[in-house]
Amino acid sequence: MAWETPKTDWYGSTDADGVYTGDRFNATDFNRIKNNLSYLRELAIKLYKEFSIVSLGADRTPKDYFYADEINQLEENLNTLNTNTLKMSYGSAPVYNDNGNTMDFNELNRLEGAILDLYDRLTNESEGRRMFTWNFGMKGGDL
Amino acid sequence: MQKVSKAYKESMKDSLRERAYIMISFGVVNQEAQAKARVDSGDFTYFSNQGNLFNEGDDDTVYATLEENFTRVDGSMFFLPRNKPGAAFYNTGLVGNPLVSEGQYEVTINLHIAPTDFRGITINFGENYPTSFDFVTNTGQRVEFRDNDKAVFSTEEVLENVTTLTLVIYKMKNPQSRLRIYSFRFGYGLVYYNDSVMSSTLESYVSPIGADIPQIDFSVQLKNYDKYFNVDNPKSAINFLETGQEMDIYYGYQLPNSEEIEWVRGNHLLCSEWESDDYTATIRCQDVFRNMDTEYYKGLYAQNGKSYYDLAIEVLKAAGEKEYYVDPRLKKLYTKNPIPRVSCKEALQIIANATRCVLSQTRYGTIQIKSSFVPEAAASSNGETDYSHVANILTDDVKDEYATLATNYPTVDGKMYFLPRTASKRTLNTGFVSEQQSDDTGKFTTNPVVTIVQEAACMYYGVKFVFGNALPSGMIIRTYNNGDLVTEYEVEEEITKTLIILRDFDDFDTMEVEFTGTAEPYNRIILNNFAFGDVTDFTMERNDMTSSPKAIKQELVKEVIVPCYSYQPGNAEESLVSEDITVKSGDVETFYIGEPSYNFRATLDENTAGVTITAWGNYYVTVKFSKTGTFRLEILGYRYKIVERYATKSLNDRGKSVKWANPLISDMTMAAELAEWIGEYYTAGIEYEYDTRGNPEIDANDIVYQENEFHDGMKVNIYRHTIEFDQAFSGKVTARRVTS
Repeated sequence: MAWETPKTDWYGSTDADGVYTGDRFNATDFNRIKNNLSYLRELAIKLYKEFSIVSLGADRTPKDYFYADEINQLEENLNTLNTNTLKMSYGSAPVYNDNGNTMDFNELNRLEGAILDLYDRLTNESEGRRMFTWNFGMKGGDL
Repeated sequence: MQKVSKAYKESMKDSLRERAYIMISFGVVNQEAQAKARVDSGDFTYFSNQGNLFNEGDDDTVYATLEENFTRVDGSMFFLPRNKPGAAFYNTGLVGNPLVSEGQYEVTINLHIAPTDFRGITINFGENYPTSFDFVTNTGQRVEFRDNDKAVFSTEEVLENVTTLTLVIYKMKNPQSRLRIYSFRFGYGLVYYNDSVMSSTLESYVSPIGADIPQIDFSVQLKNYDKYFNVDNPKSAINFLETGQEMDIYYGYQLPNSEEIEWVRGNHLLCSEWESDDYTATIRCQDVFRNMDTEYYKGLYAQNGKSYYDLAIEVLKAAGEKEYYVDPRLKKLYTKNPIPRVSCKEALQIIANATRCVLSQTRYGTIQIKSSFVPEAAASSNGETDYSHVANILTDDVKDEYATLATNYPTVDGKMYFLPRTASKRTLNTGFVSEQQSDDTGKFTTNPVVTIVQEAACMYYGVKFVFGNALPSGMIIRTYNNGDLVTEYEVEEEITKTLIILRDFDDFDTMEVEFTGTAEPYNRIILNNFAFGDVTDFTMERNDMTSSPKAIKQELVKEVIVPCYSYQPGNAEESLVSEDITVKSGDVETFYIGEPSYNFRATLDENTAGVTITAWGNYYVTVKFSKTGTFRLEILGYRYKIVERYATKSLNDRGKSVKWANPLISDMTMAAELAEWIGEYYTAGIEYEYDTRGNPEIDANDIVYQENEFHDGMKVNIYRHTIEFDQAFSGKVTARRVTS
C-alpha cells in the first residue's frame, strides 16, 4: 500500500448567495485515508508489537456509497494505531450515525492531520533506529 | 360534493385522522397533473423517494455519497443508512442509480390524466444539475436543453397532449454523478406546501335560491421568517403577485396505511390583496364574481321571447368570460322581458333565479348556472308490448303482471292476470314489458333499452330497480349529459327482484339501461319500478362536529308572491334625453336610459338631420353625428308600461309575506314554478351553525344528511362552508334544513 500525502487543508464554506464553495469529499479521499491507515499499520508493526486494524475492503469508486460505521471505523483504526504506538493526543472523534450529519472539514483536518503526524513520527522512528553495522569476512582488510 | 375515494371517506370519519396537506400555487401550474403524476418504475437507488417528487420537496436534505465533487465537508449532508430491513430514510427525492457518465439516463413520468397541454416545467435538480437533457412526450414532441446552468431549471415551453413525459439526461455538471430531482412542477410559478403555510381559510357561500351573488374568500398566512415575502425585498415573491393573479388551492389527505396523498381541488381564485411583516405574509383571494362589475345595459324586450340560455351567454360574453357552464334546460325556457341595467354578475343571478338555478363558481374557477331542484323525469323504451306502460315505472306503486308462457315466468299463486284477447281491454297497471323476447340462451336479438330523461341534469347516488317475476341476466347503465357520455357501468351486483345499485352517478340528464339477457330463456324484461337514489351519501354526524349545532328558527313565512311582469306599449312619446352638446361630425355617443323604453328617434335642434341612431336597446341609445357644432340633442321614445300579476304560494296561516321580484319573469307558469321553489326554501325555516373537523370535499350548496336527535334522515343544504387548514383540517358549516 503506497503512502499518499494526506490533505490537511480541508475547508467548507458557503457564500452570501448560499452557494457552497468549499472542498468536496470524493472516493479518492476515502481511499487515501483508508489506505494511509493500512500503510501506517504496516509501518508500525515493524517498530512495535503486532496489532491489527479492521480492513475496510477494496478501494471505493464514485459509484459507491459510504456509511457512518465506515467513517467510525476509520477513526477507530486511527485510535488503534495511536494506542499501539506513540499514544499521542489527537482529540476525540465524534460517533457518526445513520441519517446523522456527515463529518465536517474540522474533523477531516483532525483525522488526516493525525495520520500525517503519525506518519512523520513513525517514519522518523523507523529511519532513526539504532542499527548495527555488520561486516562479513573482511578480517579488517579493505575491499 | 367533490369525488373522493372510499378509503378517504372512511378515514375522514375515523376518530383519528391522518395527516392533512395543502398545496397553493400562483402562476401557471397544472395542478391536476401535479396531483396525479407518478414516476414510472426505473433504475433508482435504494434510498430514492421518487414518490414524493410532485409534492413538497427541497434540496436541504441530501445523503453524502462518493460521486465526484458531490459531498460537502461542512457537515450539512447526511450519512446514508445501509440497505437493510427496517432502515429509515429521509426524503431526498428521486436519485438515479447509475452514474450518468456510464450512459444516458431516463426518467419517465406518467401524468395519469387524459392528454393535457401544459405550459412550462420547473425542476429542482439540486446543485449537481444536468447540463444536457431532453424532454420527450408520448406524442414524440422533443424539447432539447443544452448548457443548462441552473439548479432550479425552469422553462416556459408548451408541451401538448401529454400523458407521459420522459426526461433523457446526457450529461451532469459533475462527471461521475447521479441524477437527483428534488421537486418537479408542471408549469412555472410559485408553489407552497405545508412547510410554508402557517394557516389558511377558505370560506364559500352560495344562496340556494339565488338571493345573493355567490362569494368565496380565501386567505393564507405564509411563514416569512427569512423576509422572503417582504414588500421591500427586491427578491421577494410578493413582487410576483398581481391583482387578479390566479391562485390554485389543493387540499391533500394522507390515505391510511399508505404513502399516497389524495388531493382534492380546493378552488381556483383571483388574488386581491397581500401584506407582510417580519414573521408572516398574508395573501387574500376572491371568487371570479367579485370584480365582475361591468354594467349590462343591452337588455331588449323580445315580443316572441328569448331563451334564458341565450341571455346568459350574452351576459357572460359581455363580462369577458370564455369558460362557463349554462344548464341546457335554459334553452327551452323563454322570457320576453329585457335584462335590467345591472352589473353582469347581477344579471346572471337574475337569470339563474328565474330558471330555478343556482349561480356558482366551480372549483376550476368557471362560472356555472345549474338547475337546483329535483327534476321531472320521463321514461321510454326501444320497444314494449301493447300492454306495457314504460312511463309507469317511475311511479312507486305495485304493478300488475299478465301471465304469459315465458319459461318459468307465470306464478301459480293466483296473483297474475289473464291477458285479454282484445288489446283495448289490456288496461291493468303494468310496468315495462319488453317487446323483445330472449332466445333459448337467454339472449336478445336487439337488447331492450329503457331510457329515462330528466328535465334538468342532476347527480344521484344510486338507483333502484324492481323487476317482475322474470329477471334480467345482465345490465349496462349509461348516463349522458347534453349528449355526452358521463358514466358507463356494467352491473356487477347480483340481479335480484329488488336491485339497488349504490354508486355515484355524476350530473346527467339521460340514463339508458340496456338489458343484455334474461335469467331464464324465452323471457321478456319486466321492470315494474325504477327510482333514482339519494342526491348524497354523506352524513354530517355528531362526531364530525366539534361544537354543538346551534339551531336557528327563521321567521315564519305566510306566503311567497312572485310577480309576473308584462311589458305594454307606452301611450305617448316622451323626451328621454334633452341636452346641449358640442360635437364633431363622425362622433359617436351612447346615452343610457333609466327606464325601459323603445321606438327611439333623435333630433338636433328639433331637426332629424345630422344625427342617426346606430344602435339601441331598452336601456341605451347610440347616436352618430354628421354635423359639427353645438346643438340641442333630443332623444324621444316611448316608455314601457309594466303590469304585474302575482303567483302566490301559501305556506302558513301566519307570518310575513315574501315578495320575490324577478324582473325577467314574463309568464305565469314560470312565476308559479318559482314561487313553489322559493316556497320550499322557506318551508323548512330552520338553520344550523356548527364547527366541524373540516371536510374539503364539501361544496357550498351541497345537500347532505345531518345527524339529528329528533329527525331521522334529516337533509340540510350547506350554503356556507368554511375549511380551515392549520396543519390539520377544521371547518364551519351553516346549513338550512331541506324539506324533501
